[in-house]
Amino acid sequence: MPYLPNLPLEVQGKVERLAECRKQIANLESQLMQIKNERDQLEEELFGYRVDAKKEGPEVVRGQIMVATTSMNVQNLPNEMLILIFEYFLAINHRLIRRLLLVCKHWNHIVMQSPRLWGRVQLLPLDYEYRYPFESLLPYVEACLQRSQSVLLDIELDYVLLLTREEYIRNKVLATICEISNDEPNVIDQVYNLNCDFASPEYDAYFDQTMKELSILIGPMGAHMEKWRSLRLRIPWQD
Amino acid sequence: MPVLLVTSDNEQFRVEKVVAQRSVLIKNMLEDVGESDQPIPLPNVTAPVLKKVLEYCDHHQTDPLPTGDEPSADESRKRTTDISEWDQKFITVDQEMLFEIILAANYLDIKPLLDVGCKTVANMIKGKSPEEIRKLFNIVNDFTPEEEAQIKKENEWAEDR
Repeated sequence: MPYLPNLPLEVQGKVERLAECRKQIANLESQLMQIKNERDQLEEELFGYRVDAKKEGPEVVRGQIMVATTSMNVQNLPNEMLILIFEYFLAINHRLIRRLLLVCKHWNHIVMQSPRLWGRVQLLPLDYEYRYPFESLLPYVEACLQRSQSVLLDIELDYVLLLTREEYIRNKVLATICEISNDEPNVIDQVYNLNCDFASPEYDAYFDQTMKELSILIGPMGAHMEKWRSLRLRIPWQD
Repeated sequence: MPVLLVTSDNEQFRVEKVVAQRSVLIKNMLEDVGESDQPIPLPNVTAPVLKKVLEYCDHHQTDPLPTGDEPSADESRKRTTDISEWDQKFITVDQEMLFEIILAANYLDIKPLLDVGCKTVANMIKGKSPEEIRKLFNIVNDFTPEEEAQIKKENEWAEDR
């Protein structure tokens, strides 16, 4: 990797250290690869001795493995390239990572062993209001924090659709009245003229819930903020 | 000055230097040996694949070369799976060729081509369930029902719909 010449000594030291880190990672990765290959080979060799080998029919499974290796297919791609494919697959919605985990052992293994794929947290209101249940937020953030290991996090928070107290209460009032009244246009007009900005424990609960994942991301006394690499924040715009 | 490339199946390709240099591997090789008409062996690429790769290099010969490692550019690069019209037509090949192109792009160090290949595979699995992904790539489901249930449980937070 080329860096500018004549860098200050301190920066130069870091450049050298970076090169050293890269070398060490490459070494460890190649060791890991060797061990994994050995494991795969042993697993295959020992397949016939497995307790469940009889009922699954080793003949058939072996035949499929043979077919799979004769021509170039997705399973022969080196892990590095599969990870790149997965990164693109997760570009829009990070939580689709669960689907990758469920395809086969090989993919599951790669995803679980790639902290890079977990170095992202995506909290979009559209997701948790329609696509994923609210209770799933915390486990999701926790899984990312844990599985990203030492990889820094890119965090995307979108609070554009987060309701203010006034909006929240007005929506509730409107919904309740519309249930009992047929004169909708008139009701909407009237409710919009109501002053809805007052204390509401229900709103506080709604707001707290939304902020919970943020506090997990921050961690006790900001402990997890060391793990932040970037933060994209979308907030409601008000004049 | 043209460059002579030799594939693993011993076919020779004579290409313009500016086209061949889209491959950072070849570019570095040329810089190392200096001016010479020595053929460059590419033991990891077969003729049909190299032909395809060179078609890409030829079309993109005037593109600016990627500037190496800019982490921010790298990150935004990974946030989109859009592929230009020409590239899309170019990469409309069977699965085997697609994976061969990805491998070759990686070996020859042609980042933009590697991206096009990987984006294409990513787009193929977009919107598909695990079962549909297996079908698409002929992957055997090697989980026991218990294992599958365990993974689902551990990752309940991402269960959609």
